Amino acid sequence: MKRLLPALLAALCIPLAACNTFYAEAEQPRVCLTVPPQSFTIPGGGIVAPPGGFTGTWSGQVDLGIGNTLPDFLVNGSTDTHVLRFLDLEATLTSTGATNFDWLQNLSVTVSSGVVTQQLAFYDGGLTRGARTLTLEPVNPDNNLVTFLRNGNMVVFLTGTAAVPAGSPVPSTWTASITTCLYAKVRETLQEMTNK
Amino acid sequence: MRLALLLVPALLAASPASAQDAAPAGAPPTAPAAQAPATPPAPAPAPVEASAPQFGLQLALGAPDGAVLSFVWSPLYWVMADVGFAYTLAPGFVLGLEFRPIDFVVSPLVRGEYGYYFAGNTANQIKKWANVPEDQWPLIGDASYNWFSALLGIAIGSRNGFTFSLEGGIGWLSLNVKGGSGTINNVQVTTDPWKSQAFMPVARLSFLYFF
Repeated sequence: MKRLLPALLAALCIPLAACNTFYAEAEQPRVCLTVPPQSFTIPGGGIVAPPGGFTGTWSGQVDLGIGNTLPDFLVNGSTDTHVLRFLDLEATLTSTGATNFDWLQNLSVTVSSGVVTQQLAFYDGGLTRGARTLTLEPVNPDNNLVTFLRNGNMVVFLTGTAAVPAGSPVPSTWTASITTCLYAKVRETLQEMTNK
Repeated sequence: MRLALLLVPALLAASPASAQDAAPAGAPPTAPAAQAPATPPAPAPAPVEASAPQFGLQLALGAPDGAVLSFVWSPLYWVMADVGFAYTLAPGFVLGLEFRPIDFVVSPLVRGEYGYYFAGNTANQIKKWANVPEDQWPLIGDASYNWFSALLGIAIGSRNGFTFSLEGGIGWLSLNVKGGSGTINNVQVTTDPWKSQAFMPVARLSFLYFF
């Protein structure tokens, strides 16, 4: 009996003393966000490519809509406790503008914090002729994108080059439905949760 | 069952005396013992320890258990296994294995437990607790959870009646949530099934009755 009381007290103290050991984590392996069709203008487009062909660059940006669609606790927080990774981006042409991606020579998808810019994905050719869907894989799958969230939102920048051989039409715009898929994970200790 | 619960203690309490009283009355009139009052009484038989009951019912309240009504089987005084119906945010079941090394009115105990709760009202509670805006609710599907726990505690009571126990320990809980899809602010969102896990303290209070 003399040993029981200390043993019981020790058992009760374990949870109390271990608030930094106890934790909870949530992991969303894949969440995909499809924003309304986005249009991009190709400067100098809308013509038939002259002799020697046409080459031009274009750019645009897309708000992924994270802030309005994912719970705050999942994406907002320090990089120590929150992880947000880019999984892939898929662009599917709509009936407006370019009818396929034959004109696309390369495409870079980046994200910026205002101080640091990071490349998420890159396309450098390889699509079959007449393809209407472009899928991009991450350049670095382990990059944590939490630092690129601004007020819970994330804007990605698309920059590309259009290259059309002589005599072929150069689209003036391309419009696509864009789906971005992300991985998210959050982990907090009991101490952090009780401090909130 | 209720009748048996009432009768068993009454019979146990009454049996030694009634057995002694009943012996002369129930003996045939021609029995030698009844016809020889001068003969010294036969030595009393050595006391036989009544075997402890093996089965019981247990009501437990705890976290993450919720409320659990269990059937208990204890073939030996130091070990017992239980299986119970549980309910917190959803119905479920709990399996437990418990060791009580001391056969005394007060005993320490060590317990291992596994619980599983089916999808019920859990997902709705998650949405409320996590302050998920209503337009995001379609993204969170049905949720079920399960856990393992290890507990240390103390039990007070009698093997032949009620036992009360208080336990605390650690547990590993896993919440499995189905995905969903919906349109929020013109953005079509699709979520895969996701998981939440927690390493956490657990506690349990139980009342056990053997019969």
